[in-house]
Amino acid sequence: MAEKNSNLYEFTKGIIKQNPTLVTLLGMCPTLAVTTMAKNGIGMGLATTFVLVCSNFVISLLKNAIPKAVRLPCFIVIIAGFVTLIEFLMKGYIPELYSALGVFLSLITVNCIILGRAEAFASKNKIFPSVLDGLGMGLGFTLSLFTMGSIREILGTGSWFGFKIPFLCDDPMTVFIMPAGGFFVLGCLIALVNKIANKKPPKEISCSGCPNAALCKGQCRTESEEA
Amino acid sequence: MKDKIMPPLVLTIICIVVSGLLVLAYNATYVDNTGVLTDDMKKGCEEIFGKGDYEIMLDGEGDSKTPVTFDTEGVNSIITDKDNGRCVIEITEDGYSKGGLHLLIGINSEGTIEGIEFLSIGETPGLGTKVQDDSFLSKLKGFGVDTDENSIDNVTAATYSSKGMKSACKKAVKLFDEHKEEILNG
Repeated sequence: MAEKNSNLYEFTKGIIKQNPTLVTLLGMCPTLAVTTMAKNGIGMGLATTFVLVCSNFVISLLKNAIPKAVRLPCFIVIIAGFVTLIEFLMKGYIPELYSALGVFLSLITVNCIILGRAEAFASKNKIFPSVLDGLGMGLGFTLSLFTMGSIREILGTGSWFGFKIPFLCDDPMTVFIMPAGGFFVLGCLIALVNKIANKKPPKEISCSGCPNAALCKGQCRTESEEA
Repeated sequence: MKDKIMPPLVLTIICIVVSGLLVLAYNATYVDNTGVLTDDMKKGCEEIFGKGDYEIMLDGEGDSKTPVTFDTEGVNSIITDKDNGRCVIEITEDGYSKGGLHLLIGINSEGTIEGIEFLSIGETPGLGTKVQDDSFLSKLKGFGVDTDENSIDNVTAATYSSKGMKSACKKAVKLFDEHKEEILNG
């Protein structure tokens, strides 16, 4: 029973609670670049989900065979392999989406969400939870890209999936499909998710999670207290 | 010793396996479009001349048919509309990036350029892509074998792309001039 619950948790955590774009702020580059249309957002999200699930599966399968010293190059090769595969498939079957996503499709390889999940989760967990984690994170990514793409498309062009929206399409706010609009929508969505998740800023800043902790050994805190 | 051999060995094996699988995937999804009049090309021809009976000139027998190019560098295929005495030349030319201009150049029965359509453009967005503007393309209209390409001004900030466009036009009209009989009657 406990295992079942933990599997469910691995799947659902990525959708809102640990949403890769809106909470952990990973993969910002494709998020801002391709979300000018809802359709592109879904395409990019699903492509990333595919790569995420497959790479998590393979990396979790090979976790004991890959030596620690070369684990990052191995992960990158596996991820790049899947990205190239989805590129071939998209070029062959959905050339329209392939040209819309452009260079960002190949850049899925260096998307921090995928490498992050491989390093933080798949290389330490069993196969089934890893696949669920990949699926959940991918869906969370797709969901945030779709929401962002929809908002920007509706406000910026006055249409949604090609349907014209009365009133809005007469005089659309073009700024929303420009880069500045992307940042604005992203900021609003992050604020909304923080509100829903009821996340408050930490009351006390601790050394866990600080990348310099090993070097400074808490000296910064004593310094700031003295000051 | 094991620590020194294992990491490179595992990485090499993973690279070989992934490359092998990708070769299989490439072969499974690759579609050979050589010598086939694709929808994009047909649409481009119709943009230039309107409806017509377009056909790619092919050479050879059975499955080994290849498009006729008269050994001109950069020319991919020649699409003819024999009834109306005109042809469209598919050409790939270097702009600022190598092979950045993939064009359809329509040549009318008088041997001058009727219109140009882009199949794809790999030039710098905002600079090289300016050669797609009507103001530049209209200058290339009527380009014939005797036209001096230096008489046409390059687009500002897109010099290499403009030169590529003009060189492609020159090649196309020259090819038509030299092989007019074969193209229209062959």
